[in-house]
Amino acid sequence: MRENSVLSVQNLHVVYSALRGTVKAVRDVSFELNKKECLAFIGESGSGKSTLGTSLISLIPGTGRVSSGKIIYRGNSKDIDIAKLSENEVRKIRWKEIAMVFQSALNSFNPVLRIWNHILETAKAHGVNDKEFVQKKSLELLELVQLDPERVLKSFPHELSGGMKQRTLIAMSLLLDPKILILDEPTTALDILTQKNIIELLKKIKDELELAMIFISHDLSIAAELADRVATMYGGKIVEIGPTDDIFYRPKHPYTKGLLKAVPKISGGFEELFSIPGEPPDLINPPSGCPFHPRCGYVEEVCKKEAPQLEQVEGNHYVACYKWRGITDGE
Amino acid sequence: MNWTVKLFKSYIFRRAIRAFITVLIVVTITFFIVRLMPGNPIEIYIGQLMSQYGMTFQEAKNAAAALFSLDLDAPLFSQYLDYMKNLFRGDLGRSFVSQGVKVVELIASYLPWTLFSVGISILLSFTIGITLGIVIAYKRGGLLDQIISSISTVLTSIPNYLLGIILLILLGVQLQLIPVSSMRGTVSPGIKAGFTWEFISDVFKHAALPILTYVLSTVGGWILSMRGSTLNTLGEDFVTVAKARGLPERRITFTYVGRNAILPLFTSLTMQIGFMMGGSALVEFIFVYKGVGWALWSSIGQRDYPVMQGVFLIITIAVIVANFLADLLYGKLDPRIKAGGTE
Repeated sequence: MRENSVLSVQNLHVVYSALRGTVKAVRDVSFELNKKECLAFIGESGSGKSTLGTSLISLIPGTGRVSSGKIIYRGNSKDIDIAKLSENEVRKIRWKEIAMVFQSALNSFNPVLRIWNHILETAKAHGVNDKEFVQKKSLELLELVQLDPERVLKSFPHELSGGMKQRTLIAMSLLLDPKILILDEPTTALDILTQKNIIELLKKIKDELELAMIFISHDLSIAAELADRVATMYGGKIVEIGPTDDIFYRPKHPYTKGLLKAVPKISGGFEELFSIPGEPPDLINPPSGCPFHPRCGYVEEVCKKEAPQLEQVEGNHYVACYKWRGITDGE
Repeated sequence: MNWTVKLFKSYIFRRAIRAFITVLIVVTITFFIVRLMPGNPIEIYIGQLMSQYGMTFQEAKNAAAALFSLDLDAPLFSQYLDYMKNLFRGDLGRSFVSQGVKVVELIASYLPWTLFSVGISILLSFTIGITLGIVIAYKRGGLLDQIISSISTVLTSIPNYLLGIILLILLGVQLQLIPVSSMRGTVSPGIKAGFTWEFISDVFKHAALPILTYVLSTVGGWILSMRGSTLNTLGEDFVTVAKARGLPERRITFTYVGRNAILPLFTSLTMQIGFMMGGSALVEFIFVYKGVGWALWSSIGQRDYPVMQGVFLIITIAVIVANFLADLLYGKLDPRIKAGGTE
């Protein structure tokens, strides 16, 4: 684990048990998250990015579990492997050390409790019993997310709009000064103007507060605005990871290139839109070799046999592809 | 806004008006329906007089008319108007059969027993049901879930009177586990009413079988509804977010899952009160438990119209009051539903 990391994921595998067999949702994923850094995970639905996010706080839904690998979190004094913690131990880490905001903006709050009760019970669950302190802190945070703090604290969830609820949740996620904030599609359920506001807000939080962010999204433009580094996921694996500019301007993986080409441009017409042929891989029986080979235009025999490992392109830019040297920048 | 407008706009006032109209409609319908039943009390009584005392039909009819102080030959509609007029004075008439006894007094003596046995049963059944329901929802697919779910399904599908007969035959006659004959009635003869251990234990002893029957026949429904409702709630995002917030499991189970899963069951709870008051007729008859159900049963047999109507009226009022209370309570439990909704 590097000196300035706050989180180090090593050879992580996450599986779900299904009737048809074992779904290998996250396969051999390794990455480091630096202090104060925003790392974005992009990829299509079913690429394993949300599963990866939930595994970091041991909240994988349904039958999912970590089958092997380590999730090392660097706490104040010592390193902790989150994958090995008991439910009660990991409960203490959630929200206090690693907070997670979900996309379910409309339904994140208990309908029968006021926002203030949500905040207070969260503080109490982590041993913060000073009511006045919690109130002062929540007023500050709601101010930070540009809400009317007094009104929001008194409100029931249904009295707030979707955007207000998501801001409130973001404000609440900062309540205990977590070291890491995971944002899983935080803008997906919102309209475009509200999305824009939330992104501005996240930028502000990132600049003003000392925390590292993991941003999970299929929306490349939002990732580009927020992230310092971007990781592309495909078939449960990280296929490319690097500084945001490298990924967006000099992508080396054919899948990343395809994703970028599939984004509509504001100047362009519909005829320019590109879609990657083929279907997402079946994660019960993932393709042999490189997971992307059945859909890849550059495919060769070696791609079908053995999975490529991440290779350094330059600096911090890594790609898992045998053919990356033959792939030109841009078009 | 002046106070009259406020009053007319107030939720409770509007509810009361609606309740009043409902009662009027039910009273009207029952008035005509009970009279459409084949046979009438006077015919039954005239038959008795003729066969027992050898009177002619005309003699018997005159005797009966004098006794019953009502004229069944009067047009139905004027009978109806008379009945309604008396009703508004709080007079439900007198029983045809137990001569001279006021229906109001009759009901007042029967009603507490039914309220007691049905009330305890609903409380017990609801509490046991939601507790077991939430437990098996958490352990869904396990052995406990399968056993309890199957038993619940079987219990729900047996009607309460059948269950009562089964209990009576099984526990009382075949196995001789309980002294059925001494459990008849609402209290043992000769026991003084009051806050004495003797009286209270006797009351419970007599009510035990009806209560057991009501609980067994309804608890399965509560278990299955609560199980389904809990499963729905467990899938809600706010439960996941609560876990991500590091809330303790107990807090999530009670305040997040339990509290929200119970909400939809409250509507059924109020409907249950009506069903059980009505359904008590057969159960009380089986166990000779003298509550309003028993009164209804025996009055139907004798075509005792005023008593029948009185009991129907009581059941109607019970359902309406229960619904009203449930609405007010629901507004307190679920902040999304505010009573009135006009403010």
